[in-house]
Amino acid sequence: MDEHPNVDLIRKGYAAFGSADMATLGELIASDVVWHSWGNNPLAGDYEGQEATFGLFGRFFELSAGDMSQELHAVLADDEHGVAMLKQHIGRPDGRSYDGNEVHVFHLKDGKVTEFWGFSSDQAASDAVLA
Amino acid sequence: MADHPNAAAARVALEAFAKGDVDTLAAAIADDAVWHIPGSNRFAGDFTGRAGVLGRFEHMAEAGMRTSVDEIHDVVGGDEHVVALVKITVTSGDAMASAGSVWVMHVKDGMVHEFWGMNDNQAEIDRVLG
Repeated sequence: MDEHPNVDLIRKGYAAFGSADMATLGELIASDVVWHSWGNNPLAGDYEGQEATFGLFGRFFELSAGDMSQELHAVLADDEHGVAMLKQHIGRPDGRSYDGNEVHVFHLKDGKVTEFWGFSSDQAASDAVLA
Repeated sequence: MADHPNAAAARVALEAFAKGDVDTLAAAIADDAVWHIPGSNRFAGDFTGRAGVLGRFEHMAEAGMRTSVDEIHDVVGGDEHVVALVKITVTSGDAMASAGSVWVMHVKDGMVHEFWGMNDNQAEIDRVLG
């Protein structure tokens, strides 16, 4: 079967995140987005609105000092949801690092992300690198 | 767009699991299936083969524990993968924990060959299952 058009939206989003292209992310993420940053770590919580969400992205860029990457394994989508399976890497300047399989779930409406949830195969390691 | 055929196949298995219809569930699990169950509890780990996967459910039931599906929120499929967005509750006697979960499956020819689960509330689930 052909890919659902929402697959392309999700792929564009990861390319933009990888190059910190906030202008493109601004077009792909709804102004009233709700971003659920998961786990038990200082960044966990619900971020409401694009500004708060971009603030969260900024904290990730800051904590990792740019040593953060995402390798997409597969992207699926239907009319309402996008799902990305990926390898996430986060390094910290003090030598800590995290490499985990993650699943990111996006709620989509009118070509934009309106809500985000993430899951890690190793939540404890993800929490430890962000602590 | 219509559901991908792999999503439709996975949905049959999920609905069977939710209803406790073991025969339909067993028919959707490949002989050489591998099930990766997350967490740090007595029922976590890798389970191999249809018998191994179904055996885990039986062992949980024998211990008075179960995983119930509260909601199949969506099932998203592609040519290789299907991801189900579900809400589950894990019960052990009076103790219970609910979680949002993603179930990632490799689906081929209508059968589930590999499964990975991820829960947004793993620590609580580990506490309940022990």
